[in-house]
Amino acid sequence: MNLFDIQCASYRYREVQALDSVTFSIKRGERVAILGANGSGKSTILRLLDGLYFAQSGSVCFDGRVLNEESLRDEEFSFEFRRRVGFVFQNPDVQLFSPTVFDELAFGPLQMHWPKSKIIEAIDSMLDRMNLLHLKHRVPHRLSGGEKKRVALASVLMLDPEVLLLDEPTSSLDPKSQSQMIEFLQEFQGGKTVVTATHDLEIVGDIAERCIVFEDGRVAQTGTPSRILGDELLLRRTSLIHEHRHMHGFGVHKHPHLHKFHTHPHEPIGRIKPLSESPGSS
Amino acid sequence: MFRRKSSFGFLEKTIANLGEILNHADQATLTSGEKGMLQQLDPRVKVGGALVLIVGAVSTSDLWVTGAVFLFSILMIALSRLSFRLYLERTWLGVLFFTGLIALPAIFTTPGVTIFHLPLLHWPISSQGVQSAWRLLARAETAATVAMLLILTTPWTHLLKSLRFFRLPVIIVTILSMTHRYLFLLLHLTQNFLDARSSRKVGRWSPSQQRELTASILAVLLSRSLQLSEEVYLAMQSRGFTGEIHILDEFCFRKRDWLSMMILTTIAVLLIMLR
Ligand SMILES: Nc1ncnc2c1ncn2[C@@H]1O[C@H](COP(=O)(O)OP(=O)(O)OP(=O)(O)O)[C@@H](O)[C@H]1O
Ligand SMILES: [Mg+2]
Repeated sequence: MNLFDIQCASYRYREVQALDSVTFSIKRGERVAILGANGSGKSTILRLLDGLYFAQSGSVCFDGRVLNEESLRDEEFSFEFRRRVGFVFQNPDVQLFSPTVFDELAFGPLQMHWPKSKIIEAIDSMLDRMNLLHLKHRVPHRLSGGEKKRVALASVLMLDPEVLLLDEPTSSLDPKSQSQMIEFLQEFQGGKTVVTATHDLEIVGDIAERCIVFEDGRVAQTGTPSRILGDELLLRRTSLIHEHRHMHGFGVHKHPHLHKFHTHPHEPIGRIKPLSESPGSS
Repeated sequence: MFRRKSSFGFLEKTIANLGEILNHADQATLTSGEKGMLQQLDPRVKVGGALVLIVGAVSTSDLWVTGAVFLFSILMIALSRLSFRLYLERTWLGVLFFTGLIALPAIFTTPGVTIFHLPLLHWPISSQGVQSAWRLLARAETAATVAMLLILTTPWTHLLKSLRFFRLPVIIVTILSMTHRYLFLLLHLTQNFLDARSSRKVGRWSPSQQRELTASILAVLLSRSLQLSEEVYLAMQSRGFTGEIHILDEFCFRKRDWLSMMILTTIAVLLIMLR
């Protein structure tokens, strides 16, 4: 059964049509990557899925119930929904507002009326699990970008949501934290639904079994990571890859920037060719 | 926290001051964690007490009452292990300056018995004028001292929750809590923005450049702040925030809270009788 059902959903900010009649669905336990260039509507669709914005036409349904102002005004439903769905924002600054990391992690459970002893216990085990114990009493707004991101994730995971919406989870992380994050997301599976918005093609294969490619607020294509990543034309059209020029020896050449291992026939050594003439390969 | 060329412009000074504010806010987090006397009282008692004292000190026409409240808060500062220097720098001098600006003209403009003429200008100073200026100043200083006592000895979230206890509407408490959270964001944003600007700039800013920069910063900040404040609220909502404040420590009334309540009630009755 579908957990999320999005039917012809549109959303418009005052001057920008961010989503234009988007239709797709997400199954329970599925791991989905939402791909798209800057401004293609990734963050906006996640906000619709989290019931923060509402579709202006069309509909977004969660577990058979439509998400709109009215349904979320129902306290019981909104309580359940907030407990079951966690959202890590693209900009961790907007998510961290408590005086200490400890308080930050306590925020969600407090809204959910957990007993005090359970909260304290859960915070310690979460900090331990995320390698954040040393930051427990720090002021969140004074952390580094990557640390903020991890604290934001930890604070959302506190409620152990069954659906996790992640907006650019690996941006601004150093390589080690990035691979930790990916490992973590792989471990996190266990029947959980994970929706990740990203334009980092490198991580897609690790974090998703299905991709939805967005282009200018529309769904351009859906498919498995290997199919999408193999479709160079699509990736180029949706600006997910760009011509990548660099030098090997003295030869300059260009090819799509795919972050994949590649080999190319090299120019004869001793000559630098003008950029435009170099033969493409990938 | 601001390291830059020796010749600070107006703008850089302003931003440096903003950075200072961030430090002050951290300071409040620190002082509220100390083991002083007021820190150990129930926040509801403190809010109630501060209210009684401020209303009492401000509404009375008897300066002795205002003075008594002031002395009482001095005692509390000492008992709560707050630093007087901090108070002088952050409260008393600031209030003196701003209230002074308002009170000063009153010295000359209030009609009454002239007691003195300003040399050269020959402006008359009336005793009534001096008195009303003095009264205004005393009230402002006292009210600020009491309010700072409350702020410096109570964690912000506790303060908000006790405001709810006094039936302040959810919407107002939400606005207060958002403002506080949001202030940090705004200050950081401002600082980053200015840092980015000055890293692209070689040499000193001329006054006209400074004006231009100020205008552009204000414009960007205004639109960014609207957008960010919305996002902060969305992020809170996403984690189940409905406006009600929940905190980890439950408030509980202990003996010392009852005792303070009694003392405060006595003070309140005295203040009413004295009027
Ligand atoms: N608060 C807003 N007000 C007005 N327009 C907005 C707002 N937020 C986003 N937009 C616009 O809506 C469109 C989609 O934005 P969205 O944030 O969903 O893109 P995105 O795919 O997440 O991009 P990125 O990869 O940069 O995060 C963009 O054109 C953007 O300019
Ligand atoms: Mg985005």
